[in-house]
Amino acid sequence: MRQDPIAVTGMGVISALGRGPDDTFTALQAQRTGLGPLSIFSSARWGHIPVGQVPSHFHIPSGDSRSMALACAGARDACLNAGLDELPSAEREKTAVVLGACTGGMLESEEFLRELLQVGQSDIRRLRHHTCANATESVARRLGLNGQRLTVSDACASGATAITMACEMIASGEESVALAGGVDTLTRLTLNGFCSLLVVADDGCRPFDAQRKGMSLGEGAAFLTLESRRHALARGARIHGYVAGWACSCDAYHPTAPDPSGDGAFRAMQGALAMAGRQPGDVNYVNAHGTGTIDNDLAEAAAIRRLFGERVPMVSSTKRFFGHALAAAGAIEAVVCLLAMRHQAVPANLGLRQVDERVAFRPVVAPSPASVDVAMSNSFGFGGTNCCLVFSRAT
Amino acid sequence: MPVDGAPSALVTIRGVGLVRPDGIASPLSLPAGIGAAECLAYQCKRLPIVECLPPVAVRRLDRLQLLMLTAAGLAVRDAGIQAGPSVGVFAGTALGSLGATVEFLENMICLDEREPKPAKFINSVHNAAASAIAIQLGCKGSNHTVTHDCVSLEMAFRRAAVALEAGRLEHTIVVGGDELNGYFVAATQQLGWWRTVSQPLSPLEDTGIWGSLPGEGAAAFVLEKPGRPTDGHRAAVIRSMQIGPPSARDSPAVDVDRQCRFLQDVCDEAGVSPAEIDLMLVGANGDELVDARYRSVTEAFSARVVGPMGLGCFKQLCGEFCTASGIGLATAVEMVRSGRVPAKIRPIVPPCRPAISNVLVYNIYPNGYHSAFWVSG
Repeated sequence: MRQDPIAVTGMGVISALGRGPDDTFTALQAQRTGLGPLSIFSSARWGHIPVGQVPSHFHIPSGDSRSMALACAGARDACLNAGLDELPSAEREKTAVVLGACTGGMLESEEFLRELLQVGQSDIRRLRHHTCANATESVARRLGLNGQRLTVSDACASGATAITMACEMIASGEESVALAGGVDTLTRLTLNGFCSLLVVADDGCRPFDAQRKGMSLGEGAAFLTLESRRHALARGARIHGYVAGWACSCDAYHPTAPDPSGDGAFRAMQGALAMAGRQPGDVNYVNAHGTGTIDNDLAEAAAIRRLFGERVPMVSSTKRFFGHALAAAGAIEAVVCLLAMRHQAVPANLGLRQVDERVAFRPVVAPSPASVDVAMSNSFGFGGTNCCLVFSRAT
Repeated sequence: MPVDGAPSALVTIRGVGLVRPDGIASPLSLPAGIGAAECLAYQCKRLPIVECLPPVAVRRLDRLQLLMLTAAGLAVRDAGIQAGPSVGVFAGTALGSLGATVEFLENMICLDEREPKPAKFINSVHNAAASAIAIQLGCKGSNHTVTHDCVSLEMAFRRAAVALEAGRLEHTIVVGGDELNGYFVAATQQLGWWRTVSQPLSPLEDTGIWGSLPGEGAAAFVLEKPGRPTDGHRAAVIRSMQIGPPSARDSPAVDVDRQCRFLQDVCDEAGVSPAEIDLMLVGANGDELVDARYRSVTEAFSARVVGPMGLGCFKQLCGEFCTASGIGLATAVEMVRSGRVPAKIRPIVPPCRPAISNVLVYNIYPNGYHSAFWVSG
């Protein structure tokens, strides 16, 4: 691990399981899925498909887009959890906000276009939140954080790649602190889009299962507060764990399908582990990308087998809890890894009935007490983007 | 700051690829129900795809992918590098593939979700262009797309430079681009962004016209770490690149003192005196209000620290779009490479020295962000 490793001093998460790390962990332990009926918009054709929707009691402030509201809530929680509200103003000038986002204000933009096409006119103010950067700027402005503001859109790996970029900002000395994570909301675009690709399960995703039918969509936001250990200790912050290593790669294979050999995923996992100064045998838990699509699960399984050989550590995909929250997924699952280390408990691969024999290892089927000192989180996306984060436990 | 007072280099540019309109604006039809029926726009009519890609490889790609992939292909060819696991892609696009997104949504709404178009969905994701570049050129290193409004290209450039500095990659392809889209133009027309008179752009020429003209294009750069053992292949070096954050968001006035300090910081970081700027290439776009900001800053900076300084614009070549700064940067690289100002730039103030060695590319954005690249030969 680096001499001055990147410490995680704050966590914020909002998802289909609720708000905050405690609610999230309780639901994970109880094996309670967040998948349920879609209600934030109607869909004549796909409305029956279960999704991981943020509970309806979550308040969207008037004038905010759903994406903005989720991002601001998750970021505020991570900020408060880390005590950033007490940062002196000089430190706020060196505090970055790095956000992974794919859909931005698409939910509201869709409504603009629907009115325009069906009624013949629409209010262009509906478009004011369209860009992905809108949420990033809102988070930074509302929390008074004046370091770099960066929005990355690396498809379903965005939340994880945002964390890697924030880590690089700190490691390179560009910033002292960074709030990094991801956000995405359910939209008509993504629901229709993934359904048109025939990769959505109509009874909820079952990652790595022999009878899996595809993914489930979700939404949410999650953020980590990141800073160097030295900086965290100097200001007396509580350290939840460390981002010990990270790496990204690209399959350069197909616009949507993963390289079946898993080579790109393997290179990301290998690179992150090398940066962490760890061996495969040091890893206690892998939070798999595990979307539940046929191709993704097999490619990821191939990469895991190649890295770990016969000694595959505990593996689970938590997508049936949250749904696939796209750009938020990698950040939510980073929180899951940190919770696994904090509570020394690995969440189940919910929905698994019979493992696909081609996977050739057995994911965790029930929440399990375990010694978790090193956890790995995989995130992969359209375009063959791969990102792996390696976390180590705070000692 | 540089060591021993010598000029520093942030990154070396090995190759450049540029896809831009040919400097001629033509009518663009706009969708009904939002505003005007058409608007003059700078459109890329001919893409030099065949120069770098087989036709079969491009048939499923949408407009932004074609723009950015073509630029990247030209840059890689210019740089003479081999793609592989140590080549990463850092794309910057403010709005992504708007055309594919709108087509997917129009179809979804008009046909009530009955016949969705999966290919349009695939192309609608922001990183579709970066992905296409990786697939077509074989770049297996990290692949990122920055989408942060008008500074998307600059932020992608910065992340690429940091990745090189960290030793994670041998080369990075930085590509910035945005495509013209009727919905975007019509919506922003309502905000007064575009002129209503049919007159092409002549930035900083004091025409008194309000509004610019929309455009599109893509520029790509193959970067490598300075000091790396090299074969001598080099187009330019970036001595400094900075992004200034907004201060008073949405304020129409520009803080001249703050902007002059920003430009001075860029020179200081480069380890070069402002007097060595041969030409400042600015993002003035022909809108009287926007041009006035550039005029006030460049006049003050010239008077305070530089002395006589060449001044030119580039948006008469490509129109206005979010990542147009890439066109300016590519133009600057070509200038320091050839040592001369191309006729199409038509400097407002001619450079003092006959040979161009140092160009400062400077942009101010409506949301308060500003950026500058110091480009040297």
